[in-house]
Amino acid sequence: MQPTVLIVDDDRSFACAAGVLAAAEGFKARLSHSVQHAMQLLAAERMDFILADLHLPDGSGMDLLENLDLSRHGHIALITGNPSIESAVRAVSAPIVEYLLKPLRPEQFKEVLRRASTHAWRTTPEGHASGIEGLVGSSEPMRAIADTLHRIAGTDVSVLLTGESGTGKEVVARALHDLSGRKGPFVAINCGAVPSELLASQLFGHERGSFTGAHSRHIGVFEQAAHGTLMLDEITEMPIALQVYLLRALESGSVTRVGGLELVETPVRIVAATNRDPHAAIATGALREDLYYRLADISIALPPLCHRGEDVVQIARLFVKRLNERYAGRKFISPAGEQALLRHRWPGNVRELRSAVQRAYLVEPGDELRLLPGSPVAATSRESEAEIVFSVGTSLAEIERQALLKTLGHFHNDKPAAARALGISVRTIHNHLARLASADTDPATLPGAAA
Amino acid sequence: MSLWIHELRNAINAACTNTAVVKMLLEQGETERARQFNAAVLSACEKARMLMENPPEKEP
Repeated sequence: MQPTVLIVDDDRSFACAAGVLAAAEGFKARLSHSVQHAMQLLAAERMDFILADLHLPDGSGMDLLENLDLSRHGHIALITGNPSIESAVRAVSAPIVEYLLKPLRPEQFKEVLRRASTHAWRTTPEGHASGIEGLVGSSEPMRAIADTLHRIAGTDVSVLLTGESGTGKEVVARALHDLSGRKGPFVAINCGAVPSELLASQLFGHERGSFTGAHSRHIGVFEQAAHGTLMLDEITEMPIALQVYLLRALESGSVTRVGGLELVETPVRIVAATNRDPHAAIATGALREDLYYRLADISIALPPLCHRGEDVVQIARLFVKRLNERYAGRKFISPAGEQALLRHRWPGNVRELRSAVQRAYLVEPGDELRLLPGSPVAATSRESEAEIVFSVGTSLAEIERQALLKTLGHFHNDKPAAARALGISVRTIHNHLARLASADTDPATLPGAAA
Repeated sequence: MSLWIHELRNAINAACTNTAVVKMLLEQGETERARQFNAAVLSACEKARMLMENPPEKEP
């Protein structure tokens, strides 16, 4: 989705030029020369970035701030040719505000535009990373991926996607195809799912009578994807002998159907994918090194879901929305359910999340999805030995208890080390342990019991 | 004094921003549009020149 900017300045010459620069940075620019007109525009349209002059014929840019629903709009910058401490203090005390002085350096303006554009990614409805349809999430790794996709979409470079199973490699491949504007279709083939003896035929096609059972000519996926994108999933599962033919097809931009002689041009963008480490696959002989370099003009590593922060909640909400549309429901995820989503490790990534949300949607009574205790989501925690995850509502006593016990465990019951890490004395640790032991905790289970 | 500075800053600001647009358009080969924005640069520079010729009197 194209970000929007509103430039409010009664200096029409500056406003017009700023609008052209913003358009060059990918913004849809709107111009206004008064507070009243700007208010009308802002009531009608959400803006990702507002650049407003402080001194306007019918008021001040500050009036805009005071009358705006800031939560509805994105990044805001005030610009002035008459700076004062008072106006600067008022400006920066408002949220998401930059205070800029005229004359504005063009590089400085472009930098502000880029920051606003980044902010726009975060505030796009439903968290589509940089507005790419299908690519949900606004975490740092996903925004970096979206940025890369935007940069390479219009090129012909081959792309290698790596990432655990269920991280959305096909979603990213489709997003790249959609962004590319290529005329042909998106075609995907799972190289690990097709019997090896049939894979050549599926990839390159075959002529009638080329082998037993070849009753008619078959057009392979390379030809099907002409002028489009061909996704070769699980590329490391492709037989090594076939990888030689694949490399030749990629180098020449053409294929020969099995049993045929004719060279058929195949202008396709290749997106390969694997859930294995490609370098390890090369080392074990599962992937030819020359093919790897041909496939990985650009390599994109998809993060596991547990490294994507609150994306998990955004994705889950999207699944619930789709289920509501499908079943005409009005269900939603409760705050406790969202906390459960954030705590879970998601070893099966988005695929596991989809399954868990669907199960909760169909099984839990009522409209509020709590992801009930006992469900796989609630059963396991993202917490590791080196971290503690607390939910809102956890008592301070419990937080203190867990912090103490886990830190002691981390330092193998070395109380001076744990005391240093916690910023307390060794004596305090002993006192806490004694208090815990005298409460309902079994002293034998305490780390200090054996020390 | 503050009004004079304000207007001078505005004039230089317009000149700077329009110059950036002219540079960008020339790099894109859009000479006709560049010419239009160049006129805005010249206009802003002229305004700045006039302001410089008529500075406010120094406050005691």
